Amino acid sequence: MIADTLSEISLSESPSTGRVGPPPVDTTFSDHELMLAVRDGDLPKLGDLFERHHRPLYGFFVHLTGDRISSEDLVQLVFFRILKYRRTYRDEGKFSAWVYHIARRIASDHGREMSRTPSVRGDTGEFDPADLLADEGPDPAERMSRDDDLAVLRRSVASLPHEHREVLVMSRFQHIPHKDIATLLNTSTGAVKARVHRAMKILRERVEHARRASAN
Amino acid sequence: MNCEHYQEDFIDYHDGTLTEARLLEIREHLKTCLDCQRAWAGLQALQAGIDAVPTPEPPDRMRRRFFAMLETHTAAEQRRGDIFGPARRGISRWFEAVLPQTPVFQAAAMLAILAGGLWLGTRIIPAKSEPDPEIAELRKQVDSMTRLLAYTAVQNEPASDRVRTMLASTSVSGSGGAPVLGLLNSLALDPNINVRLSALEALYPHADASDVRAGVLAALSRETSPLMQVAMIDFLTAAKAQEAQPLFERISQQPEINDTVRAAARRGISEFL
Repeated sequence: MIADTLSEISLSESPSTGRVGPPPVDTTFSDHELMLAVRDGDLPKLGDLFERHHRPLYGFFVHLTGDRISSEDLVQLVFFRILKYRRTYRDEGKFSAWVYHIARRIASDHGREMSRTPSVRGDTGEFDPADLLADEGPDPAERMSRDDDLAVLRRSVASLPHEHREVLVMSRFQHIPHKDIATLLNTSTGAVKARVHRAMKILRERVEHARRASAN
Repeated sequence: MNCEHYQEDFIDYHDGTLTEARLLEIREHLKTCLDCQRAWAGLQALQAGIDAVPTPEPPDRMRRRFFAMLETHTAAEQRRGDIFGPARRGISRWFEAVLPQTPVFQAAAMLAILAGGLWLGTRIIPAKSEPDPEIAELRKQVDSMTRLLAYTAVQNEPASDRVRTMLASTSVSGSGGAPVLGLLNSLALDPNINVRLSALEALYPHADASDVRAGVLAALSRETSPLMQVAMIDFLTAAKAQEAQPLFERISQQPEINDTVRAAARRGISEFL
């Protein structure tokens, strides 16, 4: 989940799942301060930034591409590019905006690559939300219906044009405020609102159409 | 106000990010509009479906891969032995501390530095006076060296390229300068007959110049190819180079010289008469 808790777009962790998790994140320094240290050669500080941001970035890529395995690579690529271009980071820049700028470009390149190259991988890494839910449920029939709903939703999201899918993931899946999305996309808040509204409308139509088709 | 206008705000209505006034406005509208009620219910259901999608959890291997990459990078940086790193960071910090951060002050500082530089420049650099004779001499030598290099470069090109260079020289006007000198050099020294012939062709526009005629005449006395000899005699004849007459007479009287060349020389002499 993403929440706007700091002066810059802040990426918060998802609620604790109770399992053995990552090392505790040091909150002494802001993202910006950490990135300035990385820029000036203190490379291990990037580890702190990774702990703070890799989860939401992974979620962003999974929802956007529908592919978990590729998303791992894409997150890795984001941090690789941060390392590579660290000297271009500017004091006035907002770290999260910069990271999402990198992430969007990587996602866009990946999308183009995928459209050109047919997948040859055995495990496609396709994201099925049902995989993440516990198998046990109150009723097998109910569980099957829920899994079907999730699959329909996933397919419908995947069928959206990239520009709609991107704002939809940011706004409705990751809950980034519209004004922050506008900053990331270098556009107005009104334009983002209109695009999200349009994306939701198309998504709703497609979900309903898919349900009608499966019912018949 | 149409329904689309209300529905565009449904997401903000759902998220609770509307102003109080707008929120009440939409709430009132929803009480009476069936279309909007349906759209609102649809949006709520869709958002509930989205919220039911579990957050994908990154696998632990991602962390391992990242830290392996970071370690590799850090080790590489250390191996590179960036001994200037601390100094560079120190200089950066010093500049950050000393230089103004506000754009207005930055612009003012820039103008002040520019003005200071101009003032200093007028004090240090003397006004332009007569050109230094040594500099003029040096410039002359460099110019001559450049010509020599240009000629050498032309000589090193393949014959076809040299012919092209000769033809290109045709468009150069004026009798002096590097191009004409180059043409005369090629006429006298180039081993390829086609290049020499092209050089002669290119010299036609400069045939009025005495130094050009003298150059062709000198080249004729050394030329061994009958074809070139005829072409040069024709050139000098067309240029009405009276100074070539003694050479023409010598050629016309030497029996070992090719008949065609001798005939051309005789024709030239008759033209001069």
